[in-house]
Amino acid sequence: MVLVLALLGCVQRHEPFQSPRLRAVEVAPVLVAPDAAVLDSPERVDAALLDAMRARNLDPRLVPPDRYLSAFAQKRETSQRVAWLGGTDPLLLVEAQPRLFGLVRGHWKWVVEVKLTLAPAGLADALSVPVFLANPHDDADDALVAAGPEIARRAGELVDRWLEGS
Amino acid sequence: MLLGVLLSVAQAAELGGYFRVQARPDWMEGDGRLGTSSLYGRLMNEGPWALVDLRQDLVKRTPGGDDPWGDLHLRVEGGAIGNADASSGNLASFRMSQFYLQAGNVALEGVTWRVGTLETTFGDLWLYDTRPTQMFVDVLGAQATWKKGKTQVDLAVGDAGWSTYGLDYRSLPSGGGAVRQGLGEHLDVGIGAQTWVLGDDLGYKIAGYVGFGKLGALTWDRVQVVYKRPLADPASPRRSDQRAELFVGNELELDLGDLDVAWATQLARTTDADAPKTDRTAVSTVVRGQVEVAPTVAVLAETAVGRELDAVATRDTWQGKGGLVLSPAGGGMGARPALRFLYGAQYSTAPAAWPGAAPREQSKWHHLVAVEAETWF
Repeated sequence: MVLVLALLGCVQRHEPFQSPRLRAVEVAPVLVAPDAAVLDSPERVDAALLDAMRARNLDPRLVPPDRYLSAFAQKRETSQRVAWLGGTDPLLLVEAQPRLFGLVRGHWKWVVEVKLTLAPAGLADALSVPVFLANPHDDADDALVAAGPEIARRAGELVDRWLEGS
Repeated sequence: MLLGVLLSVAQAAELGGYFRVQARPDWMEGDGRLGTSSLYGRLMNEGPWALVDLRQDLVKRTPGGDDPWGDLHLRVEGGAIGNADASSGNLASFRMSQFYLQAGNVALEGVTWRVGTLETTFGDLWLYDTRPTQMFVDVLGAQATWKKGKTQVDLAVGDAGWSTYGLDYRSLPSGGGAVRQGLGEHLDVGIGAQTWVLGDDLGYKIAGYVGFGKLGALTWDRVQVVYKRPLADPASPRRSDQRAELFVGNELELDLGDLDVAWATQLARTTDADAPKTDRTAVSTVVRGQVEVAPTVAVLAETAVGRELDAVATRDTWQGKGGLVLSPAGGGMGARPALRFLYGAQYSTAPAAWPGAAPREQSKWHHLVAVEAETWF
């Protein structure tokens, strides 16, 4: 075990790309519930996204949800939402939609479909994150929290592409 | 050609599933499991398992819409994997355990209809890998689920004859229901019942559930109580109409930063006034801790103690297990996939208390090392 622990220090990890200067980024995470309601994302997901931005020498700011949630209920296209939020700073829009797959060996499998958009750079990514929840009351909110670390990781990689190209 | 058909089906559908496999060389002539049951925790007491669940949209659902939708689920599972069991992965060990079609927003808005194999549960006690509140898994029939907000109601009816009697099939009508209600963010309660009717005889199972948590470090605590009066089985002297089964279990999970803790306890008691020699009581508790030492590496330790009593003997057993967990998906006890490198020891007051022990074996200790992999997908 000592040997394995010693080897851990040798693992080369992907290092976040560092912005040469502190730059502001607006972050707008959206949870689209199974009943299509547009909701504020859980705080733990927000925190993971902000941490991923800070790790790249960015200064992330959450767009206040009350500024866009009601409008997003009508504007369902990503391009419409980006246009609605459009400001002077770069914008990371995170649209997450969890859906229940079914009950598998005592755990509820959810699949969180995520669309990441970075504007105005014109970069986008899409991912499906399967998560397994243990409690019958767990809902779309809990599924999104469980998928949060993976969403933040992929959002960080999207930002890396932007920083490398700018 | 069959492979081609299966691949095309799999590509069109959505897959989920579960796998666990382990290498546990046993120098004490056992079959690679530390003890005789998961009463001392599932860890190192279970064999391999493979499960694939396929979901196919039949009428695609529109998010948030009230439009009708339909899908199909097919599940194949079994306990055989190449080089990991006596059959070395023989597919005869697998079965199609579930097949059902679902239809939503048909006739009644917000109701999901399910026809085929059925299932309800208030969740499992995963340290034991047991699902005491699971109901209707023995039934082929119809189920209606209505869910709104924090309320869920299930009703089910069908026939449990094939799963109960197999080749000696006779119709065994079974039905019941379950209700679960969330009371705020921190409390969840549920109750359910299933009945079986055979002539004038009535068997039944009542399941209760209380869950609470999201309070500080307490992620969630599940209390499950089940009382069952199974139907008498004329073919078995161990199943008179006086048989009763009681199960009380609790499992809680704590999130202490880099340290995750899960603690489960259970009492299982079976009595039969017509056959008191078959009475049996088992009680145990299992505690597991897992601490992150790096973003994808954790150290795991688990201990369990249990007592089993029947008309013949009382057996006390202790198990301790520990080792390293590698998890590419990150930290946390529930992160999968998990690759585990473990050592486990068992002491039991009964000699040779592990599966496959040689008849001459007298040791009360059993030691195992294990390399394991487990994942959901």
